Amino acid sequence: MSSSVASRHITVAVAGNPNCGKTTVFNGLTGGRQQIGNWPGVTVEKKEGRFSGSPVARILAVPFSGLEEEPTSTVHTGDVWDRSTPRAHVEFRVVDLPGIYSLSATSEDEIVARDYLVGDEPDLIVDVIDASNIERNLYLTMQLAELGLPIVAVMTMTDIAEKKSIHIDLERLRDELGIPIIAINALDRGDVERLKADLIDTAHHGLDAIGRLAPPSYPSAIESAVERVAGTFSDPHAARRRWKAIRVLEGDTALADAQTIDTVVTPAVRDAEAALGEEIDIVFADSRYQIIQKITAGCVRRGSVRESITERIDRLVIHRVFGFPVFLAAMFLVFWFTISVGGAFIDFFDILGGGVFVDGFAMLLDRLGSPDWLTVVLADGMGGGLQTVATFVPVIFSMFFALAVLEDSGYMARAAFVMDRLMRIIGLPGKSFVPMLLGFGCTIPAVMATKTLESRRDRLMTIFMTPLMSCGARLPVYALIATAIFGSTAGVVVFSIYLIGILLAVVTGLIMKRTLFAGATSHFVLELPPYHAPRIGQILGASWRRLLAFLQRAGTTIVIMVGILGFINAIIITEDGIRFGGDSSQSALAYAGRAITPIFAPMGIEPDNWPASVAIFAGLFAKEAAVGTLNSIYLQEIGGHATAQPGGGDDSSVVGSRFAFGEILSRSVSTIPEGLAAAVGLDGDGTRRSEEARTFAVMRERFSRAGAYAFLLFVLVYFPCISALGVVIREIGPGYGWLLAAYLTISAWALSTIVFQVFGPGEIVWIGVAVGILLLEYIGLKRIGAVNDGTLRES
Amino acid sequence: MRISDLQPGERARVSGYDTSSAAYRSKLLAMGLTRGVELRLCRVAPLGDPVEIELRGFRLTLRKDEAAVLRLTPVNE
Repeated sequence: MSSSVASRHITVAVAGNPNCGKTTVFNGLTGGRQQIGNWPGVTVEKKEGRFSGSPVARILAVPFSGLEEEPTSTVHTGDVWDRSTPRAHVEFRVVDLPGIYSLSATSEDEIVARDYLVGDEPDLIVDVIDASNIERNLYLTMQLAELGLPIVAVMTMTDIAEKKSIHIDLERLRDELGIPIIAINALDRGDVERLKADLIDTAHHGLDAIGRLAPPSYPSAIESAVERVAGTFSDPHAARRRWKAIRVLEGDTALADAQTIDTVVTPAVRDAEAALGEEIDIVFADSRYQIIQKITAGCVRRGSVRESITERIDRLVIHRVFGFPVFLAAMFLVFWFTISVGGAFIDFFDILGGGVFVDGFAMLLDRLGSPDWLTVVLADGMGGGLQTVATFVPVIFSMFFALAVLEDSGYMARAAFVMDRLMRIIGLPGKSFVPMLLGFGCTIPAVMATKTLESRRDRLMTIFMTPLMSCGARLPVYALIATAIFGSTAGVVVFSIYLIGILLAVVTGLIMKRTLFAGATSHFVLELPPYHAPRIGQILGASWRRLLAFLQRAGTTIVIMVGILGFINAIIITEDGIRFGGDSSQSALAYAGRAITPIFAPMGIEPDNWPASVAIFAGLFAKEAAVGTLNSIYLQEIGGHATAQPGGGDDSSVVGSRFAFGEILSRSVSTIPEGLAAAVGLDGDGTRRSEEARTFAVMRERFSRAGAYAFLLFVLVYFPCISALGVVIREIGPGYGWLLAAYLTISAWALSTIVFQVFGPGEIVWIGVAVGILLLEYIGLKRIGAVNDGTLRES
Repeated sequence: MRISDLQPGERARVSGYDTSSAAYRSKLLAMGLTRGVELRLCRVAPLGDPVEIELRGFRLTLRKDEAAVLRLTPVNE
């Protein structure tokens, strides 16, 4: 590139309906040069990418003259720029707006798009139009036109339109709209390259040279209302004043201050509605669709339609009888893929992560002469955190992959259709079922899967319920204690815990609907897009990007939290003083666990059963860590060989048990469908069995039956493991995240206390206290809900 | 006439809206459920709700009670 030529920077916003092929266009334009983040303040994914180039002399000289004109030997219109002038290098920054049907700002996606268009002012809008759905797609185009920004239309899905017997005369449409329009197959490299070249040429000529789409004109009553409201804005651009006025009149009151709304907008709406005899927003929409009809009348021809493949598939897939079995089969496949296929790689990542981040790192630090305490902080703390994050990689990736297949193929919308009625009982849309089901595997992918839900309120509700879907890591805890205490009925006990979990999730949903998330209800307006074969490249790309986002965002939080907890666990308190690294049953964490044992007394953990409360603390890392802790402490107690070894990086029970995480998770979860009872019978080798028999004996001494059941219930409900909490906090913010942790822990204590007291000693005082705490919790949630109401009201 | 009065396969035309939540109405309007547009009820979900309709060449699902704000007139075939 000649350095004497200044390069130009152009910001392009890619806008379009959901399912219109917008992502494919965006990916085609930007290739691997993408950045994924979040739009400020919300969890809506923000994608940005770049491409650049210089205009090259092409046979087709006029950009956007259409692909249908293949270069032939006929005379061309000639080069439209002077070949002797240097051609500037053009840098494009491409921002992918969320897929939206309109700019009416009734959903998070629409608000994001509206804010971007009104605030950041892109230089150019690329409006992606689905040819098979042209009328509805042009509705957004009409609203974009009102902004007064240069627009280039990219028409996709022409092949699907052909199949639906929709024939579009592109030349005439271009004339009618008055803006550049190009039809492309977004998966075709050649088409995408031509689009790029057209954009570069357009930028080279100056964006002002692009024709503007005439903004729709409205009935005179509306026009005068628009004028009245537009007069209150101080924006220098007349088009944008008008655009804002229209948005406000259509009900997007956030764009004007309260005083303007009261003194200008409300009377203007009243006058207009009096003149029209109808609500103003209906007339706006009517006018736009009428203009669209006028535009399409001359250039869109519809032939007779044969029954589509989509209709034939749907006749089975969302059939009144077969709909549910098909849905359950699809869910089973997602679950199986995530847990079994993804789970098969956990050990690999775990051992690799442990070797590199913990042992390798510790060795390196030793070589560098780092003092013991620093090695512990860095290797066991931070390194351990990195190792934990590594173990989530395969599961998260396979979960995103499976969900992307469902989304890309078009089945996800059908799942929502089939499940909506059932989920509505707890006030959630049908799609919420998917993350909840994943919760039986692991809470972390479940929380990440809530990304597929549109409304923030639904996402929050679902995230509050998923931790109660008993994750695979909790099963070993149930299995150990139930087998020790309940013997042959252990299977029934474990199964009942799972059922109670589901029941508590439903109850949580009902409670949250009335307290924390009252007020906002979400409406159900969902398009059922045509099916198409999943595009593997796109699915892999989407899963990979979401995985990276997980690592960047949740990963950091997990590393910090595991690091802090790991550090506390590595501080060993003995009679001789304090040192770092060693027997974790004497760590500061265990010490704290012992100290707070009295708190658990009402739920049946007597002071001499302090190992149980230490296990509760260890479970903060990962719930199954509670098992390792219980085993090792009980064994030490009875004079067996302590399993905890001194020194080095593998000193703590936590690291040791995390080693088994993959095995435990995949083994335990894959057995769920085969029946929980079978899973409970899992046994180790002979020596382990004899050790087990001895720990069982100790446990039977320490736990009463009521106490053991209360303990299991507590493990089910209390504080999600810190990794899960880290993800929750990244998704819904620290406020709601810690509120959830508090809600779960307090409820766990109260419920366990009630169960223990009712089936055990029966002290009325404690039952009263527990019930009182639950009531206080309900009132507290209601208060917080009332305060936060405004922030959630969106639809 | 309302959406819930339609049988699968039957067609109707949108004649107007009852007083309703502005946010919900704006979604329906953006989807092209404007006056005079013709729709067809394709099918009903396994539990009787929601319903799937076809209009302007695409498929949409709505809940019966929410979509009751739509006033419809039958189309004679």
